[in-house]
Amino acid sequence: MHIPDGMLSAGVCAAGYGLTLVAAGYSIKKINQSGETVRSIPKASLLTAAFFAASLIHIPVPPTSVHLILNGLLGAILGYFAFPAILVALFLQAVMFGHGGLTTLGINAVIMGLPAMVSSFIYCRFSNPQYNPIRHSIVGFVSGSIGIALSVVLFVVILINFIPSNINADTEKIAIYAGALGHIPLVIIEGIITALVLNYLKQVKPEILETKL
Amino acid sequence: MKTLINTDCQSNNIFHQWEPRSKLLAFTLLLFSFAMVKSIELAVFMLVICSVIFFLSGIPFRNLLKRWKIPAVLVLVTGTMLLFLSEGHLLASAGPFKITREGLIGFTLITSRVMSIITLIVILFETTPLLTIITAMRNLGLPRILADMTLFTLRYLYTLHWQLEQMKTAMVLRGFAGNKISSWKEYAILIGGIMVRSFDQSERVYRALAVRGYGFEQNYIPCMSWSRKDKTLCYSFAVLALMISSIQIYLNMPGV
Repeated sequence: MHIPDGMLSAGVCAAGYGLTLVAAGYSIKKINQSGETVRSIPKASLLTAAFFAASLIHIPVPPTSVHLILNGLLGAILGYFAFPAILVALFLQAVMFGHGGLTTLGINAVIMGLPAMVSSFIYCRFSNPQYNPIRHSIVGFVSGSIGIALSVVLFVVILINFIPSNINADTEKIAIYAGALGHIPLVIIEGIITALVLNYLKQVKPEILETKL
Repeated sequence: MKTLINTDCQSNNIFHQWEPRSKLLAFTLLLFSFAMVKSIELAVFMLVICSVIFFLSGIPFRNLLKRWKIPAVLVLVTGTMLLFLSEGHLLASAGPFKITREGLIGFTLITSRVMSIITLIVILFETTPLLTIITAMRNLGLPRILADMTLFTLRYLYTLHWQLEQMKTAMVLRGFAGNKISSWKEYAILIGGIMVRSFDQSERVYRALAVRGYGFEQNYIPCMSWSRKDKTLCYSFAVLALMISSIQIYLNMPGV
């Protein structure tokens, strides 16, 4: 779900970088306010690397398999570090593996990062410090699902609306609906896996979820 | 997880010798000017420029092909949609499919922009080591948090991926098939397991860094000076980028 270089006009790419600048600036400001910036950088970076590696796992959905995005889970665990982490991961993916692009880095960061920030807010707001498995699972599912669902909506809308074209409006609508509906299984799977991982972490290593990164 | 970057950057041509900061600036300007191209005439000019720069860089063509392959599916799907579903002056039709002049222009523009921009990125990253580029970005004002996170992530990416593969192999050796929906819980534990490992490792990494003075450095990295050759190359690219952008802005004006 990365938009490659050359697909979008320079104006859209610039707007993406503008939004990324604002979101990253806000995140960095909040991180600096925590007073634990230097200590948190290695933690956030290693977790980013772990997310990067985990997103390469193919989850079976017979008769096929899907690989997860995990931006909702990343938001829930990394908090204010989520947006910088996604920016870094997208940069490395574009440079090292050719997925996404450099001119579209800003817009891709918006597609993946803003939903992660929303997931982070949902998880922080609704998860209870006293562990209740059912409540925690529901909050985890919603965080994971919202993260990927918003990303899908942003991706499809941006791709269809900002590719310079003369495609008629009806065809555009069909493409938007088809693109969005095709991702519904992924939204559900991401929600379930996010809930399972968050429950596992809460039981095995609650510090990861409790540490203010 | 195999990187597409060819790290063999030892060469004596101008792109390998170019100072990284000015090179990064020059390529960024040219990349964004390429993203602005909306006319066929400029697209041809852009492809010519790209070909010349690529020829001068001395990078093997197969490296470029590897990169072009990655976005090919998405570009082809989008390009085909543009080609067959665009409205405008009819050029040809076969059954429900029609090719219009606007569709053909849209398809050509997207394909040429993708190819040109990817070519420039390949030249930039195959003639400069990634660590040098991150250092140059830091010198150009990239916030410390982002620069450090990029370096740490890069450093531990392969280590953690290797650990994850080991954990998966261990699960398989204990009878995990992992091809059913019922195995999602095991996959979640696998993902959770790598999070726990990375979290524990990050504590050790931080302590090791702290005793070496991490967080107390005065100067992050020394700035490199620009030679006359670096300046000339940077200004040439900037003029080229400005020229492409100006022509495109002029062509966008109503009545032209």
